[in-house]
Parts: sequence; structure tokens; C-alpha cells
Amino acid sequence: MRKIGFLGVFFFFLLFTFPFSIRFFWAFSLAPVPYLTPDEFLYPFAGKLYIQGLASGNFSVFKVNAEHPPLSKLITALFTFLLGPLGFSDIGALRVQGCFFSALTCLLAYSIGSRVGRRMGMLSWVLLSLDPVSIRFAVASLDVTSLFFASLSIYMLLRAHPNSCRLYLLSGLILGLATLCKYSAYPIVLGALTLILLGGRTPFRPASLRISLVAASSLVLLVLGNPLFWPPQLIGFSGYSAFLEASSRYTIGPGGICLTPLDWLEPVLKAWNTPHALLYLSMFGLGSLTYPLPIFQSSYLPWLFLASLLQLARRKARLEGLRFKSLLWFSAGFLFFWLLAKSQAEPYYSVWLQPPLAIFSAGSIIDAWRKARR
Amino acid sequence: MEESETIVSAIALPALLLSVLAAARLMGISKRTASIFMTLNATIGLAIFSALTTIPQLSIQALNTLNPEEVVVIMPLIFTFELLSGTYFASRILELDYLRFLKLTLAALSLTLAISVPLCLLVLLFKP
Repeated sequence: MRKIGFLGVFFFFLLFTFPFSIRFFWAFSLAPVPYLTPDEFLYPFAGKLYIQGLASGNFSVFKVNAEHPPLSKLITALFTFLLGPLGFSDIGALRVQGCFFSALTCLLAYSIGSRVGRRMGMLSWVLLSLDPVSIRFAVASLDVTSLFFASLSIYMLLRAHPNSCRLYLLSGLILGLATLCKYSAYPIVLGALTLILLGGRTPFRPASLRISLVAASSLVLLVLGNPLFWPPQLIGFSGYSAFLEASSRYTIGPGGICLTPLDWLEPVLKAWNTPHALLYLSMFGLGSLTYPLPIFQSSYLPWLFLASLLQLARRKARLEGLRFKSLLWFSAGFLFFWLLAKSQAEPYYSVWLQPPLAIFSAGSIIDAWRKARR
Repeated sequence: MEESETIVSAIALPALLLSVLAAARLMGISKRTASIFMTLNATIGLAIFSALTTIPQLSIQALNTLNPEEVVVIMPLIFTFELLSGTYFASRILELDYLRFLKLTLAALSLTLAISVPLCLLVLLFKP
């Protein structure tokens, strides 16, 4: 393994400090308190409760906020215990956690981009560090913490040698940690891995072996790390039922919000001979043709992405390497939120799309700059 | 989640996947190319329209305030726009034949509707 000297450590420290400072300034000087309700009240409370429950062997505490996995909330409790004596409130500690993991994600964007060249790494880092969505929603602790582990998992996958299982296993375990922070990480990272293997023309058997390895190792860690999935004999109640009951809040109400872009079909078919049919038919448009997150309104990264696409289409250049992989990573996240999170899409989900967009855009800018210099 | 809506999702999403693979096979296109193409097609088409919704007249709020008759007229236009732009950019990026892959997209979508509508009707008809 390559050794990192003092200068290297200092360089990485700077790469961490700059995005952390921006996020910290936003979270503590500009963002209203509370900013994301009820999350900012709920997660530190739940985290502390989980720690007390684990210490006393009372697993019923995991019924609180059971719709979300516990790891990020446990980390919040850790931050609360560490920073409480320094005068930070519970919300303050949660925000420091968000800023910390968001800044680490910027560092990862640098590391992923550096696989092509240091210039691309630096530009990816700059783009993500200054991205308004990533700064504003650094306080979304669950998503930001999960995104860090998910990005680390993708980084491992990109580094993994085709013939070695070790990094795939490690990537799966890190994906398990990401899933223990937020369940969305699982389909997004697995989707990205599947698309990257498909795009890389990996033969079916090795590709399915790698996907299974990552999926299985992350699932094992998810089950081991979330007491709700432990046997009822061990925790004294059916944790899975508690999880299902808590998750049932995320349903389709009588208002007719579509869960997937194809769910407009059901009310149309049910009401085909009534005057409501036309109204339900109109849900086709609302449900399937618009993106649930206003990504273009709040960040420059999607605009850079669009400009890169126009440039690519004009030149008819084949997309390869890290840029192609980051585009597939972006697609996995983008389509996941379009397909499955439509009814419950919160604006801060956009943070999931920013790291691949930053890497893709950095690659495109460097490519355009090289072409212009010739 | 309501049971009937779960049923529609459970039918329509696999139907879309199978339709893409079937249409690709019929057209002699590899499954990998078809899968990657359809993924990029959907992503880029949606992303381009999402960018257009920053124009006030095309904003989500403006679209939501249209009456159903107007929506039924406008939405197919948006759908066509997303389809054509997504297909164009995805085929350029992947260096594929635009018209051939437009045919693939249309065939896959038609096949999805042909499979899922009768199935959903049947399921909803016999559902208590």
C-alpha cells in the first residue's frame, strides 16, 4: 500500500477542512433552528434512547422511529455525548455530524476523481464542496451519513480488481453500513454496480457473482446491525412487524399520489366508465413525466451535467471510463427516486445525486478544456 | 401501500423490464446495450424536462394547476419530447443508431402497455 507522508496528511486535512468550514458556517450561522423538522428533534432523541436501550438490554426502544435504520442515529448520539460538554445542543451535535460526513464525501469525490488524474479529483472536490444543495442539506444527517458510506462503497467497487473478491466483500460491508443509516443506499449502490458491470461488458457469471457478493455481505451486516431484524426470541417482540407498522406511514393516501410512475394505470382502469376517468388519466402526466426533486432550481451541477450532454452529443464522442461510470451511478440514484420515492420525495434527497454529478461534470470540463487547448 | 397499487407496480415494472429485453431480442440488439440505453434514455429525457420546468410557464406548479382536459393534451407532448430527447442523447453518447433505438423504445413501451393493461384489468376485476 502507498504510504502517505506528512504533506499528504496535511493536504487531505485541508481537503476536509474547507468543505467542513463552509457547511459549518451555513449550519450554525445561516440555517434557521430547527431547519428540518421533526428530524432534527427526533434523531438525537432516538439515538440517545437506543444507547440507553442497548446498555440496559431493552430492545423495545428500537420501535421508536423504526422506519429508519439505527446507525446514523447512534452516531448522532455519539456526537451528542462528545460535543454536549463543549456547549453544543442536540441539534448542534446533529449538524456537526452532518457537516463532518458531508465534508468526508467531498474528500471521497476527490479520491474517486483522482483515479483519472489529480486535476479531475480537485475539480470534483471543488464542485461538490461549493455545491449549494450539499451545503444546504448537510444537516440532513441520515442521508448525508448514508451517502458517505454509499460513496465509499462505490469507491471500493471502482478500485476492485476483477479477479479479487476482497474489495467486493469490503464494498458490500460498507454498503451494509450505508444501509444501516438509510435503506435507500441499498438499491442505489446495487443499481449502480449492476449498471457499471453491464456497461463494462463483464460476462454474466462473474458479474452476477460480484453483485451477489456485495448484496449478501451488506444484507448480513444490515441484519446483524439492526435489532429490529433479530429473532423475536432474542429481543422479546417481533421487530419486523414493528418495522412494517412504522413504514406503513409511507403509503399512498386517498389523495391519489402515485407511488411509481406506472400507478396512474390503476385508478384509470378502476374508473374507466365514470366521469373521473379523465381526471385519473391526467395523473399519467403528473405521475410519470415529471421529476419529483427540483434539482435544477437549487444547484449548478445539473446544469453542468446538461451542458456536458450537449457537448457530448455535438461531438458524438463515446463516453468511457470514470465519466461513464459516474453517469451510470447518477442514473441509478436518479431513477430510484423517480420510480420509488415519488410519493415521499423530500428536497434533501437531492444530496444523493450530487457526488456522481460533480465527478461527471469535472470530467466533462477537463475534457472540454483539453479540446479547447488543442 | 394499498394492495391494488402494489399489484399494478408488481405487474407494470417487471413488464417494462421484460418488454425491453424481448424487444431487444426481436431487433437483434444485445440485452446489455438495450438495458444501458433504456436507463440513460429515461434519465436524460427526465433530466432535460426537469431543466425545462425551471421556466415559469412549464413549472410543476403551473402544470399542476392545469385542468384535466388540458393535461391530457399537454402530457403526451411532454412524453414525446422526453422520449425523443432521451433517445437522441443516449444514442449519441453510446454511439448507436438513433432511429433503430427509437424503434426499440417505442416497441418496449407498446409491449409494456400490451402486457400490463390486460393483466391489471384481470387482477382488478377479480380482486374482492
